[in-house]
Amino acid sequence: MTTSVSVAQQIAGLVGSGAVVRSAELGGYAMGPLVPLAAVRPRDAKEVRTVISWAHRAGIAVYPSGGRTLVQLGNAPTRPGILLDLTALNRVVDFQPADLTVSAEAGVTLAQLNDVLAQDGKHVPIAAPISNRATVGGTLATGISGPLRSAYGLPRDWLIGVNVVGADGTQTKAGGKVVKNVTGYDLNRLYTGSLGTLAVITEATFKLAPAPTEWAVIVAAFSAPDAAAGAAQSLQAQHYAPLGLHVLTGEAAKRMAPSVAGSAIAVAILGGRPASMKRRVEDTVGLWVEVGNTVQVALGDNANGLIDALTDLPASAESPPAICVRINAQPSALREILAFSDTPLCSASPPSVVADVGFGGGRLLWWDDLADGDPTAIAAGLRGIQSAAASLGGGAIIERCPDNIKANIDVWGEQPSGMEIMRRLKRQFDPHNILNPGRFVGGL
Amino acid sequence: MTSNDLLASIRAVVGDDYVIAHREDLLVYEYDGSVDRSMPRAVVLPADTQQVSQVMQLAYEAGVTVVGRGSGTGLSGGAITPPDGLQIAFPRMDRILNVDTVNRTALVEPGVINLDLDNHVRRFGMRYAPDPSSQRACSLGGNIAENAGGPHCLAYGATTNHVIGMEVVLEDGEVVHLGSMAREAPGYDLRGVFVGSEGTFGITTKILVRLLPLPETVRTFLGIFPDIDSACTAVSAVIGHGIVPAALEMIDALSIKAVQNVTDAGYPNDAGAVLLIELEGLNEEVDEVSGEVEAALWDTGAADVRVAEDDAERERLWVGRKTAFGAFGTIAPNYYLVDGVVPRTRLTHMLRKVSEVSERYGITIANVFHAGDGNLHPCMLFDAREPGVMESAMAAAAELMEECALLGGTLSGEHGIGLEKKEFMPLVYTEADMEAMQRVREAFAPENRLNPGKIFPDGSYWRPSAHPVAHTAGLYA
Repeated sequence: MTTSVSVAQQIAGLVGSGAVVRSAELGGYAMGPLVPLAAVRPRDAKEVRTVISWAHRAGIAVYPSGGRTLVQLGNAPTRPGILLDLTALNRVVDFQPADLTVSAEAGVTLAQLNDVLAQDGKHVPIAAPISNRATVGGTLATGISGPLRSAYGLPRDWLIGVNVVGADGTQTKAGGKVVKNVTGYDLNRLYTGSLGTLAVITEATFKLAPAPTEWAVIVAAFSAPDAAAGAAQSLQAQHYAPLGLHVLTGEAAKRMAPSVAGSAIAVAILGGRPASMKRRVEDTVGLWVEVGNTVQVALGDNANGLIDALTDLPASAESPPAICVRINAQPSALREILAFSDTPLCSASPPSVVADVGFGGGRLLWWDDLADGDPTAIAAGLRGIQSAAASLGGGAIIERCPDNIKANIDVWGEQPSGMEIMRRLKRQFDPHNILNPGRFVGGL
Repeated sequence: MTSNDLLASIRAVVGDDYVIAHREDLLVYEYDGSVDRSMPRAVVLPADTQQVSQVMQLAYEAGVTVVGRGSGTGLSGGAITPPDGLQIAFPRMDRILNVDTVNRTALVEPGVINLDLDNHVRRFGMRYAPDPSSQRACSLGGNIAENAGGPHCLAYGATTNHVIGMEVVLEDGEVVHLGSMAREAPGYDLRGVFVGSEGTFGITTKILVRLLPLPETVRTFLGIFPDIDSACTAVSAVIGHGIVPAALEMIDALSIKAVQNVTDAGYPNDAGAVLLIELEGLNEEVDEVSGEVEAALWDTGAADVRVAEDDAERERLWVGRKTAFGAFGTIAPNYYLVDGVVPRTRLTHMLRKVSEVSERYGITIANVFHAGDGNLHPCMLFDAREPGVMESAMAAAAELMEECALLGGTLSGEHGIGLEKKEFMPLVYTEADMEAMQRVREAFAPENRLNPGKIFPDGSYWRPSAHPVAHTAGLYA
């Protein structure tokens, strides 16, 4: 009989009771409706191996966990299991500024990592909401990206090496510590975005970029989303196109720019060296001042504050949205994505839209109180959004929603092409199906 | 089904003219840009995805292995087909199907030549960034298989960073789409792990690539140095200044001599090494960074720093770099090339090792390589007709790969493992690491019918038979 107490005792026998979370605190580790049988916080990769190896033999599910900032992502777990809290693996292991590489354990937060890198003017340009809690491992496992992804790409574009613990507890590595590498298959890419269903990341090595020495955020207000889209697209076509360019509507726009009046805003994030920044700011303002109602420029800390705010919108610590839908689409679908801001979701109001002009896609956000809504009707509405996004050549992932809605929908939407290969991969890597079971695409 | 029955069935699919099975006709398909050779049973030239699928299905049912071939410029034996194996080549699938200026993408067939795509999209103010030195000959399908690099990968990343989606045919003929039209798609990143799988997962039949807008300004520098050591110091100084140029290439004295033998690239004959550095971006940005780059070059002992005055001069500098490997034919009839990578700060050490190995083995080694990302290309130049020299070259190459691994580097930066380096994989990966990789191959190709015997050590290394540079004239590393 696998009781919570016996599981915790067995794990304590393996790694010591100091690494096992007290049962009174287990509620804080709930994943949706499921409270784990036990939660363990290993202190190094060896303890991770020990715990997973035991779980593999016992056939107990393992739910890897980082800063819990995106714990909502994925379908609700249905199998009882243990939570593997990786936040104690929190060392920046090896920073080589002259080689432009850094290795960090999975539990290092993005804020911690970039603080270390900033001491030498470097950064790894990946981002996730709540950077002082979001971890390296969690960012890679979710594949989440931030507002600068059109210029810098996705986490997978910066990962050059990874240490993982496989489903049977075996430690392996992929890639290495050099920035260019075609030695063997690129498993870095496979693990990134796999939501911990193939292996548990314990350490990652990134290539680095010199960080821009100056940042600016330019916000322009428009009377309608279409006008903001037009202004943004004309900026995107310029040589001085920004590092990130977004159009926001509704509540999202108000949160980003409370003092700016208009039904939509365009937000340009600029970074660079002093001489080019002067031109970037002047030319962007010059272009937008002709078409926008108002144009505001934020520099330095104010700019960084706005970038953080935009990054945090989908899962902010203070007031996260009730529902967050990520739309994957090409840049040409910008107006169709903005049109979602006119579409109410059953009894709920229409969403705020945050559209990523350069990269394509974006997010739909609802801050409504949905307590009174009919969960099956809202789920049906969300499925409608998934179909609409699919017809744009992309898809929609429900990143966040209340449990009673999630129970009525596959948050990943339509199954992608290659699903059979994905199933075979899962069987190859995790034959006992213990790693984050049932939460990923197609029930993986 | 006999081998002849299989060929008859395949002829019925692709047409009689598009199955090559005569020994004389197969000679050009028995090698690629590497030192390995093996004659396939036949070469099939399909016209479209459906034909690829049908051919693959027929081969699968007959239990015959299949190897995809791009332009045959690969340097690790990736296109070498086992005897009795079938090769599929793509000269008929060479169309640029669509260029999308709004989404900045191009949809292409696998036989499209890298430089043809780049030239085509430049008309629309865009570029295809990965630029292997063989780009005048190599194909996008081959680029996918090898995750090809090139000088401008320093700033823009390798092929994998520029592929959004693919249509591929699996070993049993099934057609699958990997990735999507959008840059993100749910599920495992099959697209990402497929790129660089050296033809062992599937055959690519359509590719959606990302295009980048052309920069406002490009400025190309030639830093001239008295020796390799000072040029290496300059590389570290540039990167140390927080500058990642678009490209940062090193060409040593011997390579300069070879290049100048065949074309006047404008490299000085008396230099110990030159650095070819390219900056791209906004006018103001390039102006600002140029000053810092020039200062770094002078500070580290440059004898001279030149800036390309116009596009023609810039082009000339690059033609020199990209013809170096063909030009080695003026120095020795054969070459063998190592593709190791080291952390950038270990370049000086590694190049001293190259020099020491060269002396000890009595083999001439030229260096022309991607210094900015630590990707060396020590190139052994020799005459394979001399008894024992091939073995010496292989032993010297082994030492260099071992040193790269010892320095925290790796075996291959952009050419792939293929046949040539597979026995060296244990230098960087454990058994368990390689088992994890094999699991992915099991998922894509459970019967292991695609390009078998590559990448992983199995003790079955086919004895290389070095072929003269003349065979690869026009092919470059």
